[in-house]
Amino acid sequence: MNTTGDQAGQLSLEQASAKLEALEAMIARAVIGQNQVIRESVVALVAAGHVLLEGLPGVGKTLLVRAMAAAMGGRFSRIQFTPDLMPSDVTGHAMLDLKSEEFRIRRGPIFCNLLLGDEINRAPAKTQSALLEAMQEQQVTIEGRALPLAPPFLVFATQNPIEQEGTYPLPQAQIDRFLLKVFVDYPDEREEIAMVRQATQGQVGDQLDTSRVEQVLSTQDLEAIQRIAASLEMDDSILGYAVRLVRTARDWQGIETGPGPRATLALVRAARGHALASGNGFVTPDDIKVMAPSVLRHRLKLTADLEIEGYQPDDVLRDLLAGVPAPRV
Amino acid sequence: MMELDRATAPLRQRDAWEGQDLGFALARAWFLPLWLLWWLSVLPVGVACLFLTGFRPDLWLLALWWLKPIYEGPLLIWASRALFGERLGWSDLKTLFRAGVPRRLLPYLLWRRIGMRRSFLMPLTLLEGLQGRAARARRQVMSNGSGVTFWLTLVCYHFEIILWSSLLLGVFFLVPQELPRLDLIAAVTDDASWAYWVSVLAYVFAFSIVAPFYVCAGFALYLSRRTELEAWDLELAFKAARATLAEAARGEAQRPKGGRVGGAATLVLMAGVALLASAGVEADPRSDPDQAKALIAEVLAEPDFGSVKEIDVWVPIESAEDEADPLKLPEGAKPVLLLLASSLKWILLGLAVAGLVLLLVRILRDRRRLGWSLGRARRPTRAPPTESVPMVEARLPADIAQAVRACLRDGDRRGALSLLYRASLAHLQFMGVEVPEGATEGECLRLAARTLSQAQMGPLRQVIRAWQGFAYAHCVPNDAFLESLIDAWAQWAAGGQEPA
Repeated sequence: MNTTGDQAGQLSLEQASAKLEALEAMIARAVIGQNQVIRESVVALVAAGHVLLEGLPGVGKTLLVRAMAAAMGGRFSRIQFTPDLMPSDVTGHAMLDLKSEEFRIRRGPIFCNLLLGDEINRAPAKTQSALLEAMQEQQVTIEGRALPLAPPFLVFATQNPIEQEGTYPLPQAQIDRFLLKVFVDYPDEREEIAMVRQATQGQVGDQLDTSRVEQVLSTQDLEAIQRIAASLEMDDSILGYAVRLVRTARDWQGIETGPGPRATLALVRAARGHALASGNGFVTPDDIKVMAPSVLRHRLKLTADLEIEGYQPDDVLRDLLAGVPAPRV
Repeated sequence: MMELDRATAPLRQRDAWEGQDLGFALARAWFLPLWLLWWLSVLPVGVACLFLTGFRPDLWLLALWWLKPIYEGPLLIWASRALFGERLGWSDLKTLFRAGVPRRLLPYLLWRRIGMRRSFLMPLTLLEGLQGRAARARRQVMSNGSGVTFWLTLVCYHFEIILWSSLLLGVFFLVPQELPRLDLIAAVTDDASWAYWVSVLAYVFAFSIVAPFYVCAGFALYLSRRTELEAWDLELAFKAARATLAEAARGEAQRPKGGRVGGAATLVLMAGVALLASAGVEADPRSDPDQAKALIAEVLAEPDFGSVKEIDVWVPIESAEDEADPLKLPEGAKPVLLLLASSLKWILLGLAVAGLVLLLVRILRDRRRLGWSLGRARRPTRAPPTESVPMVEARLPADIAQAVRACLRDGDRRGALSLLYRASLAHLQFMGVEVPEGATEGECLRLAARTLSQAQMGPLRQVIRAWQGFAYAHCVPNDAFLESLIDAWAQWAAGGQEPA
């Protein structure tokens, strides 16, 4: 199965899988437990998609992205979204250079490879739009000049499901631009003990410790891996299964507004990433099914009845995934 | 017999305040249909009252206010059906009005109109249909603990006033200065002024907003009381327990009797817990009413209450000439202006009617997209059947091994491996492993590994790998491997446990 690697660049499929495995292991050095979250984040890297991380404060969202940045190299920026953050604080602006008496472009923190947007829903819609436009178009316009963002450009935005007062919820059209919405839950007891031990042993203060994370990937490697994932073998029956899942969600009981065609594209891209991260040279229905909740949960709206009952999109997706027949012929 | 398990809202024991919360949540969920239904009910009554009151806005508002129970009946009927998943639509309007405005509603327009428990008692009248002594006894039983309805009514009145005054102030502050200003004093005192009409219409609009919440809150209180009296929550819990036990009994029919004894013991235990929970109800401590009256009288005798103060103010006296014609119009201009005003009035009326019709047309056309309708709720579909979806239950040949070999002879390797895979899933089900329709290859393996030993799984792992490799990676297995796989499968299916 080396042929794919030969066509894609310097890495073979086995090498790409090994590098992704090493990347996951390296992130897991800093983020104890949360294996599913780490896997989904790596899948997003491979699929070149942006991630919306949702979780309560203190579950390791920021640490995860910092560890990922440390393990993959490239330029990393972090923006803390606040109500007074302006679009130019994100994208950059033109300033008058008094020496040369000319306007000079001052690039904002968005010019990086991995951007962490902390608490994205704290900033007003105008600032959110500036970021989300850059995510979609992979370029920023300052003073009429279009400045492309160097690939790979990935955004990991976090938001907090509680304390919604004074926040600006992302509109559905903008949420759709995130490839995955990943839930970061509390670790289990065993993982929490290990995490507490590691975070307090010989550590002064409560800084996020990523000192044990070494770089195992370069941006060139990542681009090569992304190309390999994009050229993985995918049978028509798998495509049919992905389309069927998304189409069924549109008519499913309890779903008011279903996911659009962009969701199908995202599902297939994520499944390719998952197959490669699992060490497979081809995509199976398992890859589609594993990635479906994180691809679809933010792209559908439940009916009022279910919302009153306190159901979450994941509850409905669980039924949907069990009800749609998997390909067997 | 009421089918409680069809209820779209959770039925459990609630105190009165929680009951009201449920009512408000229901009203929010069904607001648009209820609001439209309210307007449909009020429009004919409003038009009739307009003529009957001789276009006097104060009397008209009083009549509309007094006849509120007439519009609330259909809302209640609609909500009671919607609770059990039935959405009445345009075609059911006749039924709605027939059920919602019966003759039994008459007391609600007379002595009960000024009572504070209307929203709670109306479900008793309209939904249970009892009369005479039985109705009185039922009201007595149900009314215990319904004191919160007083606060519901009071709060709703206040919300109507707040909404009305907000609307008036909104108009007052937002209309540009060049246009005629709304006279706030005239809006509440001068019934001959147009401002008074604006005020009256604002009040009717406030009625329409509050009515769904008032009706649903009363209905939810009624539901809470019935749940408490008739233990609907326990009934639902027992139904769920019975369904669970029946399912377990079907699945574990081969187990010894101990399991059935355990199931019965679970039921007895649940009943015991329920009885213990209900035994914790305590008597309602009440204070002595005579003591309370004396205390109230004492408080009211304080100088802060009931003192009267007389204040004299100067009032300007305007000349009669100024009042008669404040604009001092030239001769001949008045008829022209009157004609202009009359024409403008009819043009505006025409535009308003056309706008209303257009709005109705848009609403009817877009009601599906807007996500609400008075029509029947869209039937939810689960997995829509598609032609390309193969089922594991698709008919399998009697002799699998022979059929697989036949496929191989015809060069149909995909068909052969697919058949072998589907037959393996069917065999798993035969061995007691439940394989859902949506289970993927990996899930099938995990389900089998959870229930069966390694030896019992036979060549399943190899079959699935071969199928995945061929179907998804297009890797063609050689004939010798396939032949050995078929042999191992045949041995497994025949009851042997030798892996390939």
